[in-house]
Amino acid sequence: MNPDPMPDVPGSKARARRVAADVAQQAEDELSALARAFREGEEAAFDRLQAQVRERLYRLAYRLTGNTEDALDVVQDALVKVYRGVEAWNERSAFYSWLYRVTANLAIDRLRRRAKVREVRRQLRQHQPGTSPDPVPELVERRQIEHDLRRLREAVESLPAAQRAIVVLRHYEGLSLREIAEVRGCALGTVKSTLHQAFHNLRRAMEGAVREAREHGRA
Amino acid sequence: MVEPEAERAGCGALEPDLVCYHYGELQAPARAALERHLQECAGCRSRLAEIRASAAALDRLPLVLPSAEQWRRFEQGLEQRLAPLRAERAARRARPAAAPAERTRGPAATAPTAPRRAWARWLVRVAAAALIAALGVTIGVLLARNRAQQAQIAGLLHEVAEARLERGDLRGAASALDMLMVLAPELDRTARLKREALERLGADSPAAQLYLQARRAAEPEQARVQLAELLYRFPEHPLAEEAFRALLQRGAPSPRPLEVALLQPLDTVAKPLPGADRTAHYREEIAKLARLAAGAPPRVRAYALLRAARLADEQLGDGALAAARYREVLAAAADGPIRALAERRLAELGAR
Ligand SMILES: [Zn+2]
Repeated sequence: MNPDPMPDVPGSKARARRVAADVAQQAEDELSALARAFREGEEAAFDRLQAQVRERLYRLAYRLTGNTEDALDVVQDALVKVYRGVEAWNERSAFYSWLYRVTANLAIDRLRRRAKVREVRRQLRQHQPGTSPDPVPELVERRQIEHDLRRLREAVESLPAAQRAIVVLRHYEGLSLREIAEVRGCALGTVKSTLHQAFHNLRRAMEGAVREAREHGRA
Repeated sequence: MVEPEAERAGCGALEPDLVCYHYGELQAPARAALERHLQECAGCRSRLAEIRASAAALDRLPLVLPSAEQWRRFEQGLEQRLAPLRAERAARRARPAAAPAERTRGPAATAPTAPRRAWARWLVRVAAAALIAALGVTIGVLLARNRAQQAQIAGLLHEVAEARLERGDLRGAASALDMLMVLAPELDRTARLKREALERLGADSPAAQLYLQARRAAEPEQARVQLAELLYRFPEHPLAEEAFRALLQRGAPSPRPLEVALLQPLDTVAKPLPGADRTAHYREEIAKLARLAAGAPPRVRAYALLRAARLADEQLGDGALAAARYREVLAAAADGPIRALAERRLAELGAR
């Protein structure tokens, strides 16, 4: 993998950002217009809106929750919430930003709830003997990759919800730290330090995984 | 001893900046300072490398998209949750709107326009044909002379209905059930099959909710709005055709009971008589649908045009005619599944 896929050419990057911002603005305006039409009684506007945003929201929810079922549930919850609450949308923020915030917060709530359940399960598992299947030679390499990916996923899943949220919003969603502060409703400084904490924990979790894999290989 | 200690403390404070730097979020002065520091400090360089490795690892985590089936279930679930909200909203909006609607009704409603009258005549013929076709079979069942004979036929029909349900042939199952309900309406097996068929036909779907709202509507205009909404939003639902048929009725639309509509579907397009020229027949039907579309309200127009396009496409297999018809659909339907259907089919026709 190319470690630095986007070389820092100041002009081109700024231009790309501007174009992306224009496109995003256009899409936001369009969604806001649909939301307005829906609020004023045009039922079909909601269906159009729903069809336009659901995949984007799904990506966000998937990265936050880490699985398809939860992500789809979160998107559905968000859409129902927005359907119910469209009258309360005050247009102080663009419609999509509102919807996005609702989705992110619902996903984070779910993540928090699930983290508690997982912690209990993990404690239960520690008291049981491990069951690792016998390695089949030709599958070892594939299994190793799957193993790494699983550990990586576990590392991400082991992050506290607030840290994971910021990693997802910055890394996968490409939001600026300032935008993240807006979405999460917290200070810019908090976003920065939380992002740093997240990377710190991620690295530790993955180091642990590597060490464990090595010991496992030797045993 | 003092130098490395001080440097370590300073580097620790730089750590949050390293992540920001990686994501291009460091402003000019801090950025330049960090870059200078990075040239001198191997420790920070390796920490930056670790951050980059972690970020690259994050890129390796796959994004699993839902299958079409999962999206379908998502939509169903969403619609189920929205249905009561939609009804509530519609009721809320209908109340204040009722008074002005009352005032504007009058000459326009009492003197139907020419196209509307044409719809009605055409419809009466179509409905009559369908009814006779259905009755023909039903009468056959009724003609069974005695109870033994009836029981025999009922047993056979149960088998047929069950097999068709299993195959997913809901229409076929419905027509067998239709006869069973005449023959043996009280039998548990019939009741169970009927329930199952109704469920599979979507008797509790959002489309059915709209249909029921139209049936319960106090004002004909309200019913027309719900029915138009139904066929515009769910053009492929069996009730869409029923809604279309009801909309074409002279005066107030009077949709049949939901169960009847689902289990005894009527088609607005007549089948060609045996021995007739199929092509000429369907061309005629397409032309009629287009004429009706011209006088219909926008949503109904979109549905009628889609119906015409599909006849050209599926019954005549005429790619050029179908494409021209689908383009008309695009002009009539600004959004929704009708537009999506036309777009998809046009793309497929163009690809060939
Ligand atoms: Zn340093």
